[in-house]
Amino acid sequence: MDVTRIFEETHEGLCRYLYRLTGDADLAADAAQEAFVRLIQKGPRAEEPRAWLYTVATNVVRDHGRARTRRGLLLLRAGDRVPLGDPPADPSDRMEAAETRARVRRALGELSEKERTALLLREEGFSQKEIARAVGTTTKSVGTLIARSLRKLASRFEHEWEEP
Amino acid sequence: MMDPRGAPHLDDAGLLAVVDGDAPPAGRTHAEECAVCAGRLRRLTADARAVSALLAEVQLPTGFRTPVLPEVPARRTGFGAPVPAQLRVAAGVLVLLFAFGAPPVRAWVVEQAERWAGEVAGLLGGGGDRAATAAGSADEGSALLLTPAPGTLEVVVERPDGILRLGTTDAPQARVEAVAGGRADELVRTPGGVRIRNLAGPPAEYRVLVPLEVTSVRVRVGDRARSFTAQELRAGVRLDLRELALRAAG
Repeated sequence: MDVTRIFEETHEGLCRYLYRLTGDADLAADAAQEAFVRLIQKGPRAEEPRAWLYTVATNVVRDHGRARTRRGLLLLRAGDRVPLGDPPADPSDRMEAAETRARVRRALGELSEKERTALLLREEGFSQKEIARAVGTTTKSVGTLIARSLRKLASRFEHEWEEP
Repeated sequence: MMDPRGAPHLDDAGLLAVVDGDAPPAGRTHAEECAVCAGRLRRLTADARAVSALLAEVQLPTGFRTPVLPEVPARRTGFGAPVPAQLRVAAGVLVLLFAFGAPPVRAWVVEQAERWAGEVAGLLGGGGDRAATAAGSADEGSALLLTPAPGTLEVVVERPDGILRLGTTDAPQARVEAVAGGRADELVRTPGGVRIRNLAGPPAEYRVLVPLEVTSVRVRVGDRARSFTAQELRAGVRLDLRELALRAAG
């Protein structure tokens, strides 16, 4: 197993996925780092290290989310507080981009944890089979889950843009 | 549901497979020929494109703390490390003597056990690494003392977390210690300096004081490294290990 190659090929996408999943740059960075530490300490048990890394990192986030929920800081509310992405230079563009990101964040927050995870894993190019393994369900169910999430999210935005 | 020719309509998973290009030929053909499925497919494709475009708005911000590839020691030390076979045999003999021996024998066993406990603790505490390097050095409390060669001393930190303070000392030996936190960490001598094994536990603050003969200190986290000159060391350096992991220099 060439860990350096896996790291080079995976870390950017993994961080992006975790950042979209959590809306929290520090948590995303910590979860990605933890996944790579575990990769080196234990090695992937599956044949596909990329899928293994994403699954481990998702579990790290999930465990952290549970702890946060216990403290009353719900992940769903994070979108209102946490800035997402780089602000554009122009103030009006910055406001618009920030608003778009906040809407994306809120919309993602309205999905269930499983829907959000599956949707974002698909966006990173994973197959239904790999996503099913990561979220702990069957391939058929995960296809239904993702299709439903896509409809929910798209419909949510259609309505948002229609609002004055 | 069936199409006019009697074939079942695609379910959501089947339609998504068509969108993602993973569907079998029969599924693709059906989606093209069945008006119902073709309509659903167009809608799902549009939704998927819209969602991808929206998610593209959320990219990693500048300054995002990129992970580094950690170095993990191949050999375990500390609690849980392999116990030498001779020690296992000796411990077994002691247990048998204590269980079946007369009172004077038991007293001798207790005395031997207490004496050996110190030696065993030394062996399990990573003493192998320490004995192998930096001849003539000794530890003081939780601090690690080492006699570095003149020139550059290398400090390797395994996880990019915590604060590292660098400075100089008039003492002949370099002193490395965790000044805040870092209870679970190990400070291990290496041929070039010291390795801070900080993979477990919360971020800590470490201090490395080097003798004046050391002309520079090189700090490395994964493949990122930065060197500090004697002048900088004399003035004192406070290094955020996360920052170091973000940019390579010197």
